[in-house]
Amino acid sequence: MPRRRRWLGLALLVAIPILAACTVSNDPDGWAPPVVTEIDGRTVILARVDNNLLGAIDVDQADPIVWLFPGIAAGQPASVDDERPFPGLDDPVDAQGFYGPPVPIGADDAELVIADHSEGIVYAIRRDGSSARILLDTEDRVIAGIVVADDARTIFVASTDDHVYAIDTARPPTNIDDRKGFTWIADDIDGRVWGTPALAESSAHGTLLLVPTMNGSVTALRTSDGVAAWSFESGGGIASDITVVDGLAYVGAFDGIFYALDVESGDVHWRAQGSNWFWTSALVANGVVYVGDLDGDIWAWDAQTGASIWAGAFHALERIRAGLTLTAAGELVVITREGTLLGVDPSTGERIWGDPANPLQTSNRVLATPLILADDSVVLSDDQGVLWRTRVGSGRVCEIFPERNSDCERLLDADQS
Amino acid sequence: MGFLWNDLLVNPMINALIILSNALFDNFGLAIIAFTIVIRLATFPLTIRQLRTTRAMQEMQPQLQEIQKKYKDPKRRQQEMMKLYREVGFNPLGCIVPFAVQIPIWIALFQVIRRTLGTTPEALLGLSSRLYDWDFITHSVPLNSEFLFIDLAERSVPLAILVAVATFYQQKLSTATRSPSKDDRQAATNKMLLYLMPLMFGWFTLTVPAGLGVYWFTTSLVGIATSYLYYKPDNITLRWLVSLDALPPSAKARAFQESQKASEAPAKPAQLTTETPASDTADTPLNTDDDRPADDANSSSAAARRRRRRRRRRGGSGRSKSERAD
Repeated sequence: MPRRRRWLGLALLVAIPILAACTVSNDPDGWAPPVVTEIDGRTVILARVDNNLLGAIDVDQADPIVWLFPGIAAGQPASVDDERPFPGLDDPVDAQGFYGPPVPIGADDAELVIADHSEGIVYAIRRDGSSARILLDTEDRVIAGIVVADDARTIFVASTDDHVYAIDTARPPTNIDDRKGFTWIADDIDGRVWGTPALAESSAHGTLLLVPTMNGSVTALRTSDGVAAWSFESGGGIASDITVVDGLAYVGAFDGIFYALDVESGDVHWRAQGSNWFWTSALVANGVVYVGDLDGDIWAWDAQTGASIWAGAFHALERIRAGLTLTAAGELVVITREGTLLGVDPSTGERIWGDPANPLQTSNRVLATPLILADDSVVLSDDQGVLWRTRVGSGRVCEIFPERNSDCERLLDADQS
Repeated sequence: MGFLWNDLLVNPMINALIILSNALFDNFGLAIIAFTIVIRLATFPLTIRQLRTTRAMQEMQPQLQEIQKKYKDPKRRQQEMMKLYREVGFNPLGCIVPFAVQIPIWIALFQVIRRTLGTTPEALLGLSSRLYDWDFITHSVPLNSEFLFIDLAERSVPLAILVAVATFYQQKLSTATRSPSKDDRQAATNKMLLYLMPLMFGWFTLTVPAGLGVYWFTTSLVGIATSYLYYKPDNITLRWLVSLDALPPSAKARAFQESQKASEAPAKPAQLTTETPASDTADTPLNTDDDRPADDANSSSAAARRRRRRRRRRGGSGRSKSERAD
């Protein structure tokens, strides 16, 4: 018995830290928003699926997978083989967490660029899914989305290693350590970059890349040489993407303040107080900036003056990470982290449809910005990479990938008609 | 349960850690160290109680061993042990209860550090709902994860080595402050723990963000200091400290003397007719009296030791004839 007790004690000592470690999952899931595109004449949805894959999905086909990166290239057997390298790559890819959307590069948008969070590798995938290549291995995590220059050839990669890399995708660098082959590398970024930078035209500096950092700064880099033109310090970290419209850069910070910055100088044009951290990108439409915060409050400010458009914030009651979108009819669409889908009148801030007390029955949380299709279908990607479809104003939601619930969809379309 | 765990334990600890980080020059590493010390101080009465119970247990060892030798019937033996506990005012749960109370606090602290580091966007998003709505807390996230030469959000090999070394010394001190075990298996277990625990915690530190390594390192140092100040061991030498030996020389000598004394004592007829080395117990049948429990059969017997030593001197295997025949 004493011997057994000793082993029990030893097992307990081993188990306690392991148990403690396992109680908090630190795996990145990613929240790349679904986007619609065309591949070989087919309309497909590009979305993060199954947690660590980027998929080109044609939901109208019996076999909806056009390709899955890094699991299944076009024309390969429709089963994910972790040991099989994607065509064009030497080794199998161990991807985990896609945060930015795939962005097209090259003539005719021949390739799609995506960054993997865990490995910090930037891939270019041929649009038809036939092959892929590595553009950059940052050896650190990449959370921010990739920005493509107007030439559709130069890309800007902002990393959590406090650097921004500009590379020519036609001649990508072979090794990050020797720092050769880069268009430029910006070293003077003050902090890790989580939010997606944005391009802005400045009469004084030419084209600028505005880079937000988790240390709370926004640095404007000249795209010609990567030299900082100006820098701005907020009162909290910035994880939001930057939106640039008409000479103003809009971004919210963890200090609960939303900023409109002059792209020429970095001066604050106006600022407005929110309720909590801002983590969604701002939507600018019809001269109004719409943005949600982590208290679930939606704000509407005049884009030029910062004057409040509504009487107060619209309260969605749940935290909002996903960006806001507009329907074809101009209704503001809000989705909370718990999956409550709401339609808001952009001029008054009144709820048009949706029930704040009844979230859609998605299995998991919704952190990615929804995709609104031309027929008023709303495609949602939940945090486990399951794709769902609902309709504007409907309380019903149906899974469309990896399993398709056709009966549910029939009812959904019948509701609409 | 979730309310108790999150709202009464984890969330206050998260906010306190952030406040500490603010107070300590926006240095999260210092905050982890200070917070670990604060938590260890808060649980100090429990630690002391645990140490007292351990010491009392050690002091009772001779009497307990006597009871084990004297009473073969497990039920009777248990009764006698309980009687002894009552006589000396010892509570066997006194060791377990403080430990059991501290486990949730350690796990919570572990979670707190991991959550507060916010190494992934999802983790940081989750953290936002746990912060109190005070500007100086919400505005100070994300925390500065640079500390000395390490990034607290990343894995650190040097820190893993430091944790392993600290755990080694904590284990070593713990062994040194105990009275040397007369039980071969206990001694073997102690020795195994001495090497296994540092390896385990070193490896563990390698697999988690370095912030947790800072916590393990600090808590080991506090553990070393507490044990040292409580036991005030006088048998520690510099030579022993830098050696890989489990026991300090004086303890070794004491253990040897005690084993000598034991071997000189006359063997009792009821005791083992043969002795099996601890490492062989799993696969070697014991030549014991049928009605005696295995614990008794495995306990040290002076006669068996004498015979074994004689056989070793002659170059024998250390097993009885009957065992060799098997």
